[in-house]
Amino acid sequence: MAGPFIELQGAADARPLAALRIGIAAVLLAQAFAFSPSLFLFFGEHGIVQAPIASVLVPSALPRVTWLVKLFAPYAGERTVLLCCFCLYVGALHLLLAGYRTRTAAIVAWLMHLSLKTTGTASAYGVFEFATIALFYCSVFPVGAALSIDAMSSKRDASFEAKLGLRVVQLHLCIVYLSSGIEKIRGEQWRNGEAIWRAVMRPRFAAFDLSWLAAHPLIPLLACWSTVVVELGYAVFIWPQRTRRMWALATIGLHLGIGIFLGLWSFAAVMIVLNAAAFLVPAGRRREPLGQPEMGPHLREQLVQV
Amino acid sequence: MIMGDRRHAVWIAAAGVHLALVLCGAFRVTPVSRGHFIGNVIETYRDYTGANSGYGFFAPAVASEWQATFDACSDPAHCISIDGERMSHEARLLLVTIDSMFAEDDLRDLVAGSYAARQFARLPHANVVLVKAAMYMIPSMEAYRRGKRPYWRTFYGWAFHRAAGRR
Repeated sequence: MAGPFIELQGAADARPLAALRIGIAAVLLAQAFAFSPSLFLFFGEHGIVQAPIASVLVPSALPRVTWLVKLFAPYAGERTVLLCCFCLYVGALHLLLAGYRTRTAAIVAWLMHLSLKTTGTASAYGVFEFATIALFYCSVFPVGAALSIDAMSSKRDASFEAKLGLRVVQLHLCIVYLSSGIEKIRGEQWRNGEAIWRAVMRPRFAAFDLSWLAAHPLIPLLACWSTVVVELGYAVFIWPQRTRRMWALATIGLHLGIGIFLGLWSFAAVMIVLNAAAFLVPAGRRREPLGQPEMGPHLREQLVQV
Repeated sequence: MIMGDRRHAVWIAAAGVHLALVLCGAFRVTPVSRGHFIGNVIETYRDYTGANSGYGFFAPAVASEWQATFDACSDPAHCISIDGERMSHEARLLLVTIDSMFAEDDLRDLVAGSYAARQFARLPHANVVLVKAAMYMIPSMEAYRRGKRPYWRTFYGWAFHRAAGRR
């Protein structure tokens, strides 16, 4: 168990981080297209929550579309600037997906995402938080070093930074589930099964009529305790090779359930991408210093002969 | 090689500090108050990176859902209910998040006023907009078995009048 957990020496290939990049970009693109018809309603200065109200809800140092609106006021109106910000965000996500000028694309996507999130802060829910986190990691770590257009012109796909990046994402997920599990176990609703019942009965979340669960309280009770066990056990059972796949799949199953029964598809998809990239995509650990190609027995034999 | 080791050490230290801040966010601890310069820098870093996020989704309890409904009136005797705006499933989730602010004492009036302004813009002939905030009351499983059913219960209401000369 301790091996993969604390080991940071050597290099690892960037495929898990590349999977994170591709998955996050794809999910955020789908989400952006899903809310694009209501762009002005949620992010516009005269939307449901107007800019002066939204601005008091967030720290003043965070970027927001209104900064750009003021900057470009002599040249363009608020709606044009907001539309340009959204197009820039979507464009950066496309480049991130393809892995072209990956770092620049990631930074632009991250800052534009933050600006939109801050501007529409009243409507930002869990998926926006995880998108911020994932896009920040895409900006810092070498997510474009594999499975990307950038990687075609570079032979260096394994690096210390890729290994560290993967560890940071893995440890971050452990913190997420541990804290979430602790919060849940403290709540009576999670201990008596009412939490799942209440969640599936919320009218604007519920995808199916699950009111029949009231007649079978053992099912929500088991679902509640399974959720708590998966989340609390995550930080322990995700590390050993023997339990890693099973725990990652159980966690993905949990998020699939959230997607199917609560309709929180973007949130579920982001969490599935994070879990799959962090723990299911093989990292192919290497110990050789960078720049020295791996020397197989055949090559070594030739070298000795020379 | 020494340079490489030093670089690695810097990376590892930075990652360690970042994850410590993530841990603080997860357990709702503010390492240094925003009142101090260093605290302000740290909090800004946490805001930008998402390291201040809490992860207690649907925990420790699943909150009740809120919904805003509106009536538009040309005079006190003639009010009609206003249909909600058409939107995608994802956009509806954003709307649910806005409506959840009705649960916050210090935000409730702001959200209601903001909604009213939106309705005045949609309906130029309305002189008064009534905003009603209702919570979805879900009975326990046991109460549901005894015949109780979920329902919307209006908790708050506001009447907003269009300012004279504004249309």
